[in-house]
Amino acid sequence: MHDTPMDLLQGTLDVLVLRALAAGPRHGYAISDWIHERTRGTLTVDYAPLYKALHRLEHEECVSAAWGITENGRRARFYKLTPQGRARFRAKTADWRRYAEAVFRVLDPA
Amino acid sequence: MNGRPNDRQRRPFELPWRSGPRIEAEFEEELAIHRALRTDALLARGLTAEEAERIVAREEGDLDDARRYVNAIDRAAESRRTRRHVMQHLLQEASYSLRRLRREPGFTLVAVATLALGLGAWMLMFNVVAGALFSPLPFGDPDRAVVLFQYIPSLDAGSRDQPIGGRELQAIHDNVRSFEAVAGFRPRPLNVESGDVERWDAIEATGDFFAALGVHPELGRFFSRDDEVPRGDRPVVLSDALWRRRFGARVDVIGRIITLNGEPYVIAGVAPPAFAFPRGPEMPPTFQLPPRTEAWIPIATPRGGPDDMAVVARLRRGATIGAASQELDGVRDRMLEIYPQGKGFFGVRAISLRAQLVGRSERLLLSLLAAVALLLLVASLNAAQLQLAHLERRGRDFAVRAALGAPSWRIVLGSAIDVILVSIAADVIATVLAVGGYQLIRARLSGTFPLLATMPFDARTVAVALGVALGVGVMAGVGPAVASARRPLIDALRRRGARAGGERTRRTLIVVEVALAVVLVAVSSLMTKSLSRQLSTELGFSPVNGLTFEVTLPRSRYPERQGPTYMEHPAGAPFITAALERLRAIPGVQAAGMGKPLPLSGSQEWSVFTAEGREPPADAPHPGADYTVASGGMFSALGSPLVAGRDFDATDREDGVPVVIVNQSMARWLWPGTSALGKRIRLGTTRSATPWMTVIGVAADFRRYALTDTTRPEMIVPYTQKPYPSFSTLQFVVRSELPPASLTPAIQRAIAQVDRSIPISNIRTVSDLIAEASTSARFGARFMTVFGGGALFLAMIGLYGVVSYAVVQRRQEFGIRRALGASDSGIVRLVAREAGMLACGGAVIGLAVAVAGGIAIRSLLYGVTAYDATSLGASIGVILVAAIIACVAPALRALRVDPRTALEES
Repeated sequence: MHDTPMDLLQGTLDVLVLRALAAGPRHGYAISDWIHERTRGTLTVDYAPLYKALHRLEHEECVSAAWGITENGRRARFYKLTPQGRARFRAKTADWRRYAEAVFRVLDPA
Repeated sequence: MNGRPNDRQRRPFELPWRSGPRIEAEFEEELAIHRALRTDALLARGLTAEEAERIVAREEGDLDDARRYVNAIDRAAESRRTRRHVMQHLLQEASYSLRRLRREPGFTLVAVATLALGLGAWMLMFNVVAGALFSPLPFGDPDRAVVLFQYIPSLDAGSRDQPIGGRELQAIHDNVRSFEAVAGFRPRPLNVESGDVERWDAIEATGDFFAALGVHPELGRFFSRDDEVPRGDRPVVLSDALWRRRFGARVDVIGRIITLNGEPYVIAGVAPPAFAFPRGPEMPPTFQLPPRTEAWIPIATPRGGPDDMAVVARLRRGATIGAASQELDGVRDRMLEIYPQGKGFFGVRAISLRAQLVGRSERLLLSLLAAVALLLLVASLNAAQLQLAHLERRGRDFAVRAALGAPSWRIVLGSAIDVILVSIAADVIATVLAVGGYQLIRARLSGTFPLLATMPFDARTVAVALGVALGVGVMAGVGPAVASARRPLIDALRRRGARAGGERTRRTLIVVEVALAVVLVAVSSLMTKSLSRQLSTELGFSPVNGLTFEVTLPRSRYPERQGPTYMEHPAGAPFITAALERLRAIPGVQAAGMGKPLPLSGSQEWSVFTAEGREPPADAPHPGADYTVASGGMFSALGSPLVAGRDFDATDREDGVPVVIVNQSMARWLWPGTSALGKRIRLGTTRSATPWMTVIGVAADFRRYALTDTTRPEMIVPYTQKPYPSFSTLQFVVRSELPPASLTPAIQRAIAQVDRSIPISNIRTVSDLIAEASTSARFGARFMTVFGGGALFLAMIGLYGVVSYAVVQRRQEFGIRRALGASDSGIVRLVAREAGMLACGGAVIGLAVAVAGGIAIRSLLYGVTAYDATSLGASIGVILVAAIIACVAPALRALRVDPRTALEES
């Protein structure tokens, strides 16, 4: 049951990646898969933006990365939220809620 | 990629560093895994392999931009992580190191103190020497400025450079093409009569003075040749310091009229701040120039007569001192043809102004710099041997860490950090000491080394000192650490092996250290002995309770005029008579006199003379002698009773029989074996019309310029009988039973009673004069003594360390000897032999070097030879005593060794 795919809005990816990692450490593919599933196929994350975002977040010390083993025995690079990343996630989430509420207030019939 | 071990977790001691290619490879791997997982998912949904591959390729898109971005950002992150990691390791090592150093407070304190002492002394001395010798001169193109002296080769080094007469100055000016400007100058103290009465130390100079020095005014204008002939008010140029002190640095003083020596002057200009030429200490003492010059006034080039001046000149661009000297010789030859029986013109010597300004102190300063470099070397060796010992003691520590998996670089880093911490601490302490010491010394020595006064502390020396400290540490600390890192672990854990090498190095260091200490102690004792010889020379007068001062008689009210033979001073002599009368009336004053000049404070006149019945052959040069004008009472005020005859008294009037007192050197020279009393001499040559003067007394020989002068023949004439030198500046001496300083107000009142407008200046006790004359000898001896003492102390610490260590090492041996019945004295002898061998080895080498050192500083020594046996013997004795002291504690420890425990330990 997938909805029609949509393009990612500017500035959305960070908060989605952080949300994905808030649920636990994941590798790149798992993150994109998780977002795809949670949005029921509405949002698809491309390779390039995903890895740029992950490595930038790593540089900003919001996530840390380490090589580990997947359930089916493959070696993969796992990302994990740092305390700093968790704080960033909370702040971004609050921003997004306020933003979305404002947009809804405008769009909803009075 | 699959074959790579799955252990990217970093081991604790590994350097945390991913290379650029590895960063790229890891990202490629990450992408490949993503593709693989996606393919698996698609296959799981039942797609064929080809379909899955196509979908994955489409989804992936163009990754080049992402690759560049990710690689760049990963590299940045990696290098930041690396830096942080290294910092962490260093901090950790530093904390280990601090712990090690704290566990050995003795080593730490001594190593830091040792290095700090050496480095501090070096920094201080280097700054003093560089400041005194190499400061920029406040002159334009200073290498072209030269000073000229009349050169009298037969005189002592201290007084060989004499002023030049006006006639000769004019001839030099007219004939020497190598000079573009020539100017004469001489002291002319100025009494300021506008506002508060005070005296300025001033110079009168011919018009080209500033041009010859290449200086430009800070404000207003300087005088030039046009000002030599007065038209309207004469110009005066002020020093920056005077302008600030007296005129509050007001720009509008230019053009103001002030009364100086009773005449109106207009303030024409202000000299730049650093300019105070001439300064007395920089010029030969014969010129008796003020410590620094505060004002300059112009005069015309004097025409003949006794108008001698110091001379500066500026070389034309491209001209050399050599070429100028040849021209000067030509001038001399022509002058001798024109005036064959002149006062005696021996030729003119030109030397560069810089050489003149610093030359007199150069050898002393460079010797001190060499000495302090030796001290630094001793300190470095000592620090090195301490660090060697420290690392040996810590060897087991490191071995344990190596056994726990620390790589060898980590061990080396550990010892390097021990060294670095010690070096930094030493450098910091040394800097504090050196900067503080420099401020103190600069203030004290600015009289002796004027260039020093404006030199700030050179911060670069701090960096150099740190470099030296680290260098010492690296040699002593890191080398052995590398060696021990390579040595089999088990040996280190068992505390054995590779020890003999370190021990041998330490012993060698100690021998060198002792040798250098012997050199420094020997040189310092030579210089101290030379100083005490200087201070105990027979001065010819006594410093007890004498006070000297100067007054200047303005020519406006005390004019000089050309008499039939010499200059006359109709008002000068009555002033002196009245002043002496008032001075003698001051309660507590025992004697008062005038001397022009007084010993150790006067520019000496010199004159050709003829002794009755001893006229020289017509073609021989005329004999000459120093020539002093004095009053009765000068000898008793100086505490110098006449050897024979009588002092001047009231009967020696202008219209009376001309009289003269000669000193012992003169009496012995002219009339050996007979009494000088009643003999007659006169100034000038056989053809002169001067009157015969009868010798009425014989005085002791005075040291005139320096304590180290040889004494010279001297004639002393009474001021009452028309002597020729100018009376414009007079020096008085007063002896009292009261402390001399308390007399000053009474003296001021006494002079004011004679002439209210005349200030007194240069008030100094006779002891001050002696102290000033020995300043640089005292400076040298004191510093050398400090350096020698420091080196001795360090050598003692070094010996103590090595002997103590040897005692610990030989515990078992001592135990066995004890068990076999060795006596106390036997054990002590063993310990003493350890120290004795090192000390004697060092002493023998040191002795040889010390003689060479003494020869190098020969010219600084007075009354002592370079191989003075008592000085050398004393320094060897001192070293041996130090060695004995260094053995006391280790010997006691050796005696306390209990045979049983010592044997059980094995």
